[in-house]
Amino acid sequence: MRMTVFPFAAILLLAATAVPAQAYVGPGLGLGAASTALGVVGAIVLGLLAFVWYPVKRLLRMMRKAAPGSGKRGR
Amino acid sequence: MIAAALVLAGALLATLHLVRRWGVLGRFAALGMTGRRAVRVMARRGASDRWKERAARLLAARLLGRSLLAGGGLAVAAMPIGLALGVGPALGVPTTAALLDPAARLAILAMGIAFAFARYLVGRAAGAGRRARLSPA
Repeated sequence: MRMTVFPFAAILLLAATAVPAQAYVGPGLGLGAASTALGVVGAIVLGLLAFVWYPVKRLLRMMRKAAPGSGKRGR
Repeated sequence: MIAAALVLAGALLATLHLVRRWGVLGRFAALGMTGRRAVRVMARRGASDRWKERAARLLAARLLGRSLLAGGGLAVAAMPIGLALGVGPALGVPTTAALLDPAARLAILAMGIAFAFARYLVGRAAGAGRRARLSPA
């Protein structure tokens, strides 16, 4: 009971003491910030693809190619 | 409050001027184009992994550069408004209060419309002068 009442009391208290944040962002600045963030995230994803995924894929392919050959050599 | 409304209107006009002058919208268009190109390159069939890896490396650098350029341009262009809101109250000009005051907002709107109309008239007069100079006598 106490555990369920506490969050509601905290929310009510916070809502009652909230002051205006004065943090309004207009549509132009908001969209600009969102597209900049998306661009940075896209660059990070592309960087991961270029620097991690493709080299790992190449390595896996090389290992797969080398595996049958090494088996024959072992005989 | 009138002084604060004037300062805010000036800051807004300065921001609009900077956005036009620095081509901030063009930078965002270039960013969108690079993003679309990156998607096209990654979705391309029949290309070798080596080619895609190299293209992804180049496009990642380009995308990061363009997004930082666009975001930085926007942040710098929005600086006059930020300065007016941040420094105004410290200098005794209640800009933050004016931003939330309906009368001050109406005054800023009227000033903006008047400025746009004046710009339109000046542009039209300049265009008419140019046409008169270029037309055969």
